[in-house]
Parts: sequence; C-alpha cells; structure tokens
Amino acid sequence: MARSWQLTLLVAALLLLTGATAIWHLTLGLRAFTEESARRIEVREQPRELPRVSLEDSQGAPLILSEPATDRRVAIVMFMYARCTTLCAITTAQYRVMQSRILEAGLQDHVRLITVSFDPARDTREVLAETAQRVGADPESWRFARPLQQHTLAPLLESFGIHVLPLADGEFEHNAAFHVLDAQGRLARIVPVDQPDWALWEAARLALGDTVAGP
Amino acid sequence: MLGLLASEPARTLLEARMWSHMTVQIPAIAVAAWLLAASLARPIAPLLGRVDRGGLSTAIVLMAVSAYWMVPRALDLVLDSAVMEVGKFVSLCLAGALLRCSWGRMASGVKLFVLATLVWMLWAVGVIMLMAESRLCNAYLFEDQILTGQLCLIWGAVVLLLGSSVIIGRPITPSLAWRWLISDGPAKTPTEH
Repeated sequence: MARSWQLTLLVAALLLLTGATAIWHLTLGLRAFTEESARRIEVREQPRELPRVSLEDSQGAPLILSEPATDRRVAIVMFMYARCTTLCAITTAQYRVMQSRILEAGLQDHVRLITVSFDPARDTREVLAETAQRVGADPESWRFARPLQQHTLAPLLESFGIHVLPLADGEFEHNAAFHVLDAQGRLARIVPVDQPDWALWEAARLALGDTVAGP
Repeated sequence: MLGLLASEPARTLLEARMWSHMTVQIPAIAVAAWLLAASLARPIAPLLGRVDRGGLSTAIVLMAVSAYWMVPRALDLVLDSAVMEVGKFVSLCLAGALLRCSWGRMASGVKLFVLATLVWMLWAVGVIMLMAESRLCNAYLFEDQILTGQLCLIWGAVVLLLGSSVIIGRPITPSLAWRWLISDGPAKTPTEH
C-alpha cells in the first residue's frame, strides 16, 4: 500500500474509534437510545441516592422518600397529578390491582405503594385524601403524598428523571414509570408503566432476596 | 450566522421544540460552518490532504456526528448539559467545515456512501419517530415528535436530491430522472453529443 495512505488510515481509524466510543457512551453500550430506557439501566446498575425532600401524605403525616423506612418496607413510587385523566388514570388503576396483589400475596409487610403529586399547588391534602378514598386505597399499603414546599419539587423530579411539561390547557405531559425504592430509600429499579407485575416482582426481590419466583 | 445560532435567545427558541432542535438548529450549525469554511479550504488543503486522502476521514466524521445527534437520548441530555451543548456546536461545525474543505478531494464512491448513509439514517429515524407509541425524548411532547419524524423524512428526500445533484454535477430534474429510468445508466444530454 502506498505510504501516502498510511497517515490517512491512521487518522481515519482514530476518528472511527472516537466516534464509536462517543456513541457507545451515549447509548450505554448500544442498550439505550432513549433517556427513559437509559435511566432504567443506570439505576439498576447503580442505585441512586435521592435528595431529602419533605412530603406530607393525605392524612398529614410526614414522608421522606430518601430516608430508610422504619419498617424496612420497599416502596413503589409513581408521580402524577390528580386531575389527569390519561396516563395517571391508567397507572392509578394499575396501583389498585397491585394493591390487591400485595394483600393477596401477603406482601403488605414488605412492599408499599406511594403516589406523589407533582402539582402540589392544586393537589392539596384534601384533594389527595379524596382521590385516595375514590380509588379505594388502603392507607396502610398505599399513601398519597405531595411536596410540602414547591421549590423542593424540581430537585425531587430531577433525581427520579421525571420531566413534567405544562400544556396550554392546564394539563401536563410527563413520563411515568414504577420507581422501586429499596429499604435504604435509594432508587433501585425503574419499571415501565405497562409492567405492574414486573414492578411488584422487583420490589419483592428487593425486600425478600433473589429467591422470589418470577412473575 | 454561527454567532446568531450560538446566542442564548436563538438556542432557547430553537431548543424549545424537538422539531426545531433536530431539523433546524442542528443542520443549520453544520451549514453555517460549511459557509464559513469557504476561505479555509485552500490554506489547510496541504495539511488536510495528508490525513484525509479520498475524503475518508471526513466521511467518518460526517457519519459519526450525524449518527450521534440522531440518537433521541442525545437531544434529552444536551438540554441539561453545557458541556454537551458545546460539544454539539463543535462537532457539527467540524462536520460542516470538513465537508467544505475536503469535498473536492473526496472519492466519488465515498461521496455516494456518505450520502446514502445520511439519507437512510434520516429516513430510519423519521420512521421510528412516527411509529413510536410513546415519547422518545422526555423533554419534548409527543405531537412534536410526530412533526420531527415527518421533517426527518422530508430532509432525507431533500438531502438525497441535493446530494445526488451535486455529485453528478447537474440538477436532478424530473426529465433527467425519467431518462435514467428508461435508458441504462446516466443519460447523455444533448450537449454531450
């Protein structure tokens, strides 16, 4: 081969390596092309510490997601706003099913459900209490919560990877998933919203160990 | 033009929507660099020629940069990272400027390969966006994604027509395309008789 090509081939190979490395890095090794799947992979490989944000539940009791649960229960967390009639309505319906699954399987001492509103201005404690009652939430295993201070909302959502886009008609477009928090209060698993059984299984495994049979 | 694109208001405006981010801002940065590089091509030709024979290195930069910025996750991450924003401008400027500086040197096979790659990537991304049942970017709305997908398909067609016109050295008109279809290979134009 002509000597004059050597430099070009060397530079081209280096550029190819650089480009491939950048794309490999961006897609977490060609596994994630969207941010939604990337955050699933990231927290599974490295459970994420959450900021200390004070929430209150629909009964006025304090709740801090980042703190280890005193009863060592694993939590499945989802974000919504109460007026939502689309995605949140579906996930809330799934939470109802999951609540009964938890009770059927006798998992209530190991797994709990938490719904957090990202619209605390309109979702007051009363609104959340009414929602909880309407969907038949058992207060022992399913709590509805809201941030106590509006300014703590953004860092909380960011740590979970939730993007909330206000729409012109007062509604919101947002990504949703089941977020499984381990007993230490770290974000350990993210499961797509169409996989409630998988979310329960991941939660049960985190609570009881790897021996739990698959869904 | 590049200064304008890099300004705060223009970035805020263009990055507020997925379609303007992906199908206006990103190509515009590369085009701006392409325009700017006009005076650069001659002075750096001796140096560039040694590391970019046949336009091979340029082709790799073009493909890597365009592939990177077609990954939906890149659009999400760049919104939250100043480092990535700088990287976006630098990589697209590099791609645009290199295209200008090495076009004359680029082998026609390489040109065709780059063109075909860019076109199929745009069409694939467009189809994926139109077929996706959920949002591919968490920072952008679903309807925005549909529009972006449609614009990517249109861009693919525009790049195909423009690129192949430049490569064969004359505009591809309907009559020219028709002549190609009924005769074998590039038709002789009357001036070539």
